[in-house]
Amino acid sequence: MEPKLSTEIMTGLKRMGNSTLVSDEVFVKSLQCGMTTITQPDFTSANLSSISSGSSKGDVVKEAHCALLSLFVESARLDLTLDSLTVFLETKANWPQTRCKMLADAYAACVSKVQACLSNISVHPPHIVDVQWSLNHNTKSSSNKQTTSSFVSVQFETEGLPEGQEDKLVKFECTLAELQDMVSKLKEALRQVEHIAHI
Amino acid sequence: MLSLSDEHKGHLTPLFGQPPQLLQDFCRLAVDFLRRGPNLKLYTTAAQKLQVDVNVIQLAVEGLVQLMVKSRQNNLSTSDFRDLVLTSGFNEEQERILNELHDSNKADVDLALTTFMPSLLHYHDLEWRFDVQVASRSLLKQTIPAVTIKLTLKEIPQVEEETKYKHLLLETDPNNLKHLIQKLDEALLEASSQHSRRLQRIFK
Repeated sequence: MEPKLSTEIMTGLKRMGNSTLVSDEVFVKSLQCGMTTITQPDFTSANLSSISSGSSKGDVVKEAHCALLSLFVESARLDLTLDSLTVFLETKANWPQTRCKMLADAYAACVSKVQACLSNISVHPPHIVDVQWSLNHNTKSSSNKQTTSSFVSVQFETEGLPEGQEDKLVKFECTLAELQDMVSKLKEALRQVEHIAHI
Repeated sequence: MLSLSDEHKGHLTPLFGQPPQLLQDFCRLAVDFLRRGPNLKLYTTAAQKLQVDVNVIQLAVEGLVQLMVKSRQNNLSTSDFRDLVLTSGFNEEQERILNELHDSNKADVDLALTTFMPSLLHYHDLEWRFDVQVASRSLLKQTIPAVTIKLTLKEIPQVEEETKYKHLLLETDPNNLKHLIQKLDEALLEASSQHSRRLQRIFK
């Protein structure tokens, strides 16, 4: 299996492998910039302009940077081996061995991070990451002066809500018996998960 | 000693001195009010039979309900309730009927009072499903275990309303699931601690 890249991306890759268009120094800087861009979600490729400003072919550097990011993402998506990636670059993009080796090393260093990011791109319900609880005893209320009951307030903290939905907390109340019921159901789920993990 | 307001007594006046059978019919209307809210159709029929205004019937039924509510709010004993009813204007025989109404509908009155208390959504049920994501468009080869949870919460219904349920679809991973269980287990443990039990005894 090899990456399926568009003609424009392939052109960018071929230019990146060409030492006449992209010098060794710019190549190394582009590789480092590409890795940082792809592994740090908040990174804005700020230093890309400094790389391209030193070169007379700024547009080529930008095109190469874009091609590099596409190559990293597509290779990680396909879980490409280093050998497959090297063969692809040598045969389809005409890269010299030295550059193939440098890119393969960079890819090996960041592939797991890229795959972790890619695994989060999917349709998922809000993910529970923590829980808060408080134990309460209701002693009186405006409607009933004689009430006495124990209850638990539970708050699930979630991540991964669609954009625009600010409320990350799921809050509810339950009696102790209901909490016991909920915990026993969650324990049953955990038992099944652990059982499957041992198969 | 608890006493009824003049206005409340005024609403109950049409019942004073009425035959026991008629008061029992009104008690049935009061119980129906507690469980399902006011029923104008029944009140109109009763008003036609007794040849009074429908408003009189409605106020009398509401007066009986209010009598039960006040009694529960103040946790009246049987003898206190008896004193309250007799001093309000009912006779001995009617007092026995009202006492029976009071005793046999305590749970319904408590439930109705609970609905007025401010509260969050209440836990109803939890169902789970264990999945392993093996591929997605953005990542072809992967093994990501996930427990999908359907949490059903209910809104405490007001009188007349049906219980409303809210279904929430949530997800967690095995590590966080273990963490949730551990933290919620702490809550259960704390509930049976000496400190919690002592406070429960004090407030009872």
